[in-house]
Amino acid sequence: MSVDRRDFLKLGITLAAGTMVGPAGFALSNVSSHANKTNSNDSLINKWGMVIDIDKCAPNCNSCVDACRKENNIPDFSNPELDIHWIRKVKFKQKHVPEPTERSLPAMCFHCEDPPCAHVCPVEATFIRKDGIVLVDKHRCIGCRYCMVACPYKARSFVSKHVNPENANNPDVPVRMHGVVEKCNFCVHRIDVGKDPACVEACHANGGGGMQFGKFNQNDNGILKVVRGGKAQQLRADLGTNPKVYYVGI
Amino acid sequence: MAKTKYTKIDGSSKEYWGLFGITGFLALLAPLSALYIFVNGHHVTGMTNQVPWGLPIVMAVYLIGASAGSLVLSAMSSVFGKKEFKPFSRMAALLAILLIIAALMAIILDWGRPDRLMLPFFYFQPRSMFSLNAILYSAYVGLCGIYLWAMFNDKGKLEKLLGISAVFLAVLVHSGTGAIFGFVYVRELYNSPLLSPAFIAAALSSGTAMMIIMIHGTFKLTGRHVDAKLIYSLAKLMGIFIIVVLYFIFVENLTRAYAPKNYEAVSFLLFNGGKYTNLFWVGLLGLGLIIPMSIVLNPKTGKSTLFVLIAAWMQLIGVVIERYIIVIPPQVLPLELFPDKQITSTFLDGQIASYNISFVEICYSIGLIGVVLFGFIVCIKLWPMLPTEAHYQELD
Amino acid sequence: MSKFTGVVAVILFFILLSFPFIYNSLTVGVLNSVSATPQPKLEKQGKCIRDTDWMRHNHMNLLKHTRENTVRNGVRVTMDSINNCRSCHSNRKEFCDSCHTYVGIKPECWNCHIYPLHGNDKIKNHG
Ligand code: SF4
Repeated sequence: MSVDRRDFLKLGITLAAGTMVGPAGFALSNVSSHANKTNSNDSLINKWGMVIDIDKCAPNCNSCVDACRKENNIPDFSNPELDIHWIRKVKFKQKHVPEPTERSLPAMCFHCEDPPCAHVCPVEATFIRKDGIVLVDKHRCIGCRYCMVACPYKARSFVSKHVNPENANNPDVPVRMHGVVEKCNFCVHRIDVGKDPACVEACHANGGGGMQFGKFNQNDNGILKVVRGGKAQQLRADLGTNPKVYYVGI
Repeated sequence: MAKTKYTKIDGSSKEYWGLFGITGFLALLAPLSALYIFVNGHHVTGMTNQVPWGLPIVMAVYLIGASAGSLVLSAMSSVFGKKEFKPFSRMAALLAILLIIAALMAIILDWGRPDRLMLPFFYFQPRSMFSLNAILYSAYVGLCGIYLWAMFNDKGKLEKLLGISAVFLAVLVHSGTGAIFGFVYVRELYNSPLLSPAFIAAALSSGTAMMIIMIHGTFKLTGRHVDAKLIYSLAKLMGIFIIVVLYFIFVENLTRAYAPKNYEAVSFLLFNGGKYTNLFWVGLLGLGLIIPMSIVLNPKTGKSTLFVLIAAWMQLIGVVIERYIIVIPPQVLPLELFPDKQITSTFLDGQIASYNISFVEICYSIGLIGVVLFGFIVCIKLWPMLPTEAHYQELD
Repeated sequence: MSKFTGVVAVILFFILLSFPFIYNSLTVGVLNSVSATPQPKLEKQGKCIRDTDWMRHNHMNLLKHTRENTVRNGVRVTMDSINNCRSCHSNRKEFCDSCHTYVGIKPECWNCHIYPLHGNDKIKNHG
């Protein structure tokens, strides 16, 4: 009996120690690997990103949002509290000044380089693809909604009603079942076959053409050139999430 | 020192079966309303895309707290040498297990896809507090069970060791629960290193309050004798814990209020948040903390069973309000996409969101408490959990 | 008394144990369809992307493998995509469901992936 007990205690203590040391070690290694990453200045190379010139973005233009809804079969629940938004037009005015002008910009998931949503996901349903796109694996999402609480940009929506796939508009994009969280995925099914995301395409076709999509490639004179110029800025850069969507002219 | 004897309850009276039926029905409410939510979708609840976490999470946090609190009380005698609480250690450990099970139920059944129950165990994500907590909670249930077993078999030393590790784990579990919110750095009202210790303080006070009520209730209903002095000393303990809770609330809000960037958030909570402000001042501070504290620490009312019971009930509900204030208002406040700009959108950006508790969520929460009570009255019939009598023993 | 409780317990246990079977026979109608061997219908003749016999046994593994590769690794093989199945097996009711009903399983794929029951003109135009 006493031997049993000793073994048992040993096991218990090892287990307890393991549960504490393991996570702590992981967390530390995360932080240290991150330290290396931020020291190098090319962590964005070969990642997808976007630059949006909001001087070209008219406050009443909604082409990108409409295109997204159509392309990605976003359901209409007709209830502003429950409705799903992958991309939305945000209108903004300067605070603390008299009579500020109202302007607007499209906001979506910014595909952060250090995405809080992916960090808090208990099952790694939200993850970062090698090309920098932050995706939700709806086959794995358990619907705990921690990511919605953690995302600083309100980019995520929960599917709170049933959606019938038979009524979907675009047969190539699956609808999402009740109980999972979804968000913008840069139209991953389109960029994988060489097309631009639906919003960018619509912006150039019907809108002001302020959206520019591409990879932060060194030999490219696309978005990297704009970002290099230093006039493009991220939203809430102070949080350190390092979004891959930049705005010019805020 | 006379050894405490434990017996099963007889459990054949009409009253017992009546209680059995009522609590059983209440316990059924939880899975049934969860099923209702699962079948219809979360739009039947008050939770929206603005406020993704509602009453179920509040209840989960509350139940975890009460569980940690009662486990600490259970270990009081063996670990902290408070021998007078020895008679209650079995039932307190039992309650700790039942409460954490109800809490796990609360979390899991609130998921959008509770059928994917096992996934958190397949995929471990060290940076996610949920993932760490999944491991901590299951370890905690197991350890509590072993601890209870050790108490049944009078394992002396082993019991003490298990008690210490169980208390340690209880603190860890509850810090982890606090960290779920404390680590969310984008919401001013969540992000705070004080959240974890404050959670533990509230856990202890609500755990004690719950034990006072449960001890009084069960001993009375089973016709056993409990020394009123024991209840009073528990009440005093509760008073001390409440002071700690008050201190944490004070420090936390003061620190927050100092930074200009938090003016909006803090003034929302403390001054112009409508029902949240009322809940904070009247519900939490007044009815939940200060009045019960004054009752139990006042030498006169602290020695009256009736007053102590009232205080315990107030405190028990006060902590539910505390959890509500921790969980909901930070989500109701809009996220600051641009701190220096005023924003509006079709997604209700920049607006105070509304959260109205729905009927299903209330049924669900009542059901969770029913699960605990039902489990309790079944277990005290099956195992000798209750002491035949509890005397106040002077410490020598 | 105790013997009686024991018997009841054993019976209850077996009912619980066979619950999936009972449930399926009531909801999916396994018993009704056992007699008729399924005859999946296929309009378009030709070769499948894998050997037919292999597909019969492993299509679910292939789909799952493809899913993992597409979603998580970003390797999109259009040929293996579930959307590509539609181009030959356009009638889900008569092809896929005929066997699935027979064995009493309900795959979750079509809760989200768009694969209309009776083929769909919209899809044909689109593809
Ligand atoms: S914007 Fe939000 S959802 Fe998108 S990657 Fe960042 S944290 Fe995640």
